Amino acid sequence: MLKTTTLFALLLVLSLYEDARLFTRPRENWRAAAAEMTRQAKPGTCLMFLPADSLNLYLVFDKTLSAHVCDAGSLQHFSRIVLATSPYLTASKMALPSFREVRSTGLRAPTVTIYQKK
Amino acid sequence: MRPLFLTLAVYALCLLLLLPHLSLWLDELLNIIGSTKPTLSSLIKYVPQNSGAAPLGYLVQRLSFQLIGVSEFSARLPSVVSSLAAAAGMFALAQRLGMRRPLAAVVLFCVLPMQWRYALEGRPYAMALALSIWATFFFLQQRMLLYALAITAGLYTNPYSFFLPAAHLLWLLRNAPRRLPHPLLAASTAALLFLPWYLYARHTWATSVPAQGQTAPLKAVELIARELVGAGYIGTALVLLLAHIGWKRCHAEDPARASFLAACLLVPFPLVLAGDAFFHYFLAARQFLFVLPPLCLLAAFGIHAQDNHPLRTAPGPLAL
Repeated sequence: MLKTTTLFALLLVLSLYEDARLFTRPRENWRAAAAEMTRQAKPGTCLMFLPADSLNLYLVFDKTLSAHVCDAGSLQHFSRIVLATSPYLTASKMALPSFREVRSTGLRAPTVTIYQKK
Repeated sequence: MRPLFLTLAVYALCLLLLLPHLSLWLDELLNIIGSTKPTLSSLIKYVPQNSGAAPLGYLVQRLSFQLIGVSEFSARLPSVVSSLAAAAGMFALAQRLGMRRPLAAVVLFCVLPMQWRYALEGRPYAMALALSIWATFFFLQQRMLLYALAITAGLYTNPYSFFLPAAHLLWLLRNAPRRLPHPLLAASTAALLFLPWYLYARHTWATSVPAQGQTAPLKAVELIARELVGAGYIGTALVLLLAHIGWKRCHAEDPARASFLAACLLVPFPLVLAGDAFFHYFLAARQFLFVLPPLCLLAAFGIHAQDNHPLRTAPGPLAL
């Protein structure tokens, strides 16, 4: 029969293991995504956010991002599109017929994808 | 008291050092967006857009931002302070309930992953938990004004925190109905004080309920078994086993104390499920956060089960 102190010690060890795992599990990193969007915000580049209202989440880190946002109607004026996609979207691809995907950054969530005009 | 201060100091140091190392996730950002609204009225308009949300946690986070600027650290600092207050409250509660080594309950509470997670998160759950613990302490001390204040603040932080005072009242109704009027008055006053916010927020709450819908009963049982303390099925099994041993020990010494802790542990479960059904909200493990204090207390009583020394008898209203 296990002593209750042993059970208690087991519970503490298991808890500490789970506490440590909080820091090793993959996590959303909106700051990194916002920083990547800021890096990509250059003249001729359109920043897009999927869903559109997720822009507010990136603005927590960089208020200037909104100045580089464009809408689907004005895409012809840009040579590059940088799309930030929320990890909470089930359909995460956007139809951009006159653009081709150049690369997706190494960010796990949210993802940042760069498109170039064909 | 020295071991308590040492424990709290080590715990505070761990939290403060680890605080900025986790990247912010969606719900924390939604909280920060609310707390950084340019005016108080825009903050108040924003809060109900998060279903079931109440404004106090946002206001405290706003104060933290005003004092030390907007950062991960300042967003989560109120939760760290709340968790420390909760740990101190656990010590006071354990002592009040006559535990011989109250520090065991404090240590278990601090390391339980479910509590630990919210101590490091820029959302108001740690604050609501601390308020519910101190409300329980004030209830046992029969400090009714402080009891009403703690319940009111708890409601304005997270409405589900009211389920613990509901457990207090149900326990009194069954065990000492003559003592019911004052706590009932305190809890009713708190509920009345919360009514304006409820009436203001309920329509927006209803439209902002996430699309997941309600959780099926079997899934609910599975979720509780897996996530109750945040340490998986084994963690839940261990803590429940210890709590059961603790309850038996308590019951043998003082049935009133055992039934009080059992009420605090069990009553919130059906109330959470009823609350979710009423608001068409999905079940989440965090809604059971308020059962962690009685669970830790019972589990800590469990490790004293092999002591040869009798437990101290709880003084005051609990020694019925």
